[in-house]
Amino acid sequence: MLKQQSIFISALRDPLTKDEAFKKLVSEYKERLYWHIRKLVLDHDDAHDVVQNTFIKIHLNIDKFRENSSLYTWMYRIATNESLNFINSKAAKMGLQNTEWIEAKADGLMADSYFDGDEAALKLQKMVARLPEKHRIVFNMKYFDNMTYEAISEVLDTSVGALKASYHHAVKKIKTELND
Amino acid sequence: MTDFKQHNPFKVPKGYFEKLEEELCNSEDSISKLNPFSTPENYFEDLEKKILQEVVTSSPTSKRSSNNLIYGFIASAAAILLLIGLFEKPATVEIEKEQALNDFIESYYLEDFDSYEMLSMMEDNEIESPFDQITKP
Repeated sequence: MLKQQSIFISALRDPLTKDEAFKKLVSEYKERLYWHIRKLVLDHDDAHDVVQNTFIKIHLNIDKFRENSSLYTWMYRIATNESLNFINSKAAKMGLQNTEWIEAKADGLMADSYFDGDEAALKLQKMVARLPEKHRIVFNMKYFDNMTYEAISEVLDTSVGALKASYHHAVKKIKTELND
Repeated sequence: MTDFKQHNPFKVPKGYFEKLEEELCNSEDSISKLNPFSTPENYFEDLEKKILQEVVTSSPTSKRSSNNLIYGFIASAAAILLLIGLFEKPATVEIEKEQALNDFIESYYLEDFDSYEMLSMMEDNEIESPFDQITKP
């Protein structure tokens, strides 16, 4: 598996095979990265901008990838950082905190033509939006993406224990709000 | 008695607490985990093309070549401005001076001489014949 990854990364770095390998990479990961980003930024157009930037970053920085994690983890990390940078800049432009900006996005989901969730799904999205940023990311990755704590730990560079605590707090908060 | 109290006689299946945590954390399954978000039709087919286009336009080589073009343009513009600064400006001053002198002479003549007097002061070849304006067949 690691050997295969190493061969693929070499192909991504070789100017002669780079384009073809990158095409394969986009084809393989575009949907997974898009959905990860979409759950963080909520809006389709925003997710589209971020996923493009993510792949551009991957293309530009493949030489800097040190192969001490899986390629997918590395790309997932770039996608997460790009999403957070995007939220930071959008929120800052409007003079808002990140959570305020996300809450506003969640409040507008019902009017979004690319959101077809029911009332419960909408309520859950609004509650997730109210979580502190780190808890929100962990909750999304664990609950919606079914990622293991170990995998999340690699992406976010946080200990498994801290992630478990974050997820526990997030679930507790959501449950409390659901019961109210 | 104390020993009996301290010893826990109950046991749990192996790995129970790890599973329990997972189960507890996932107990909010009543809320749909289904993805409520959607995308425009055929979005992912188009996305691949768009990403590849974006990557080509933002690749270091194209950036570098566009940067080179910009730097080249700036350098050329600077060189032209320098040349204008060195040569064009004194020439402009010369033209302006000459023009001012001509204007002064013209206005002086126009004020004090009539057209016949002015014509009499000019050489024959300086006087433009109205016939010169007519194009020959």
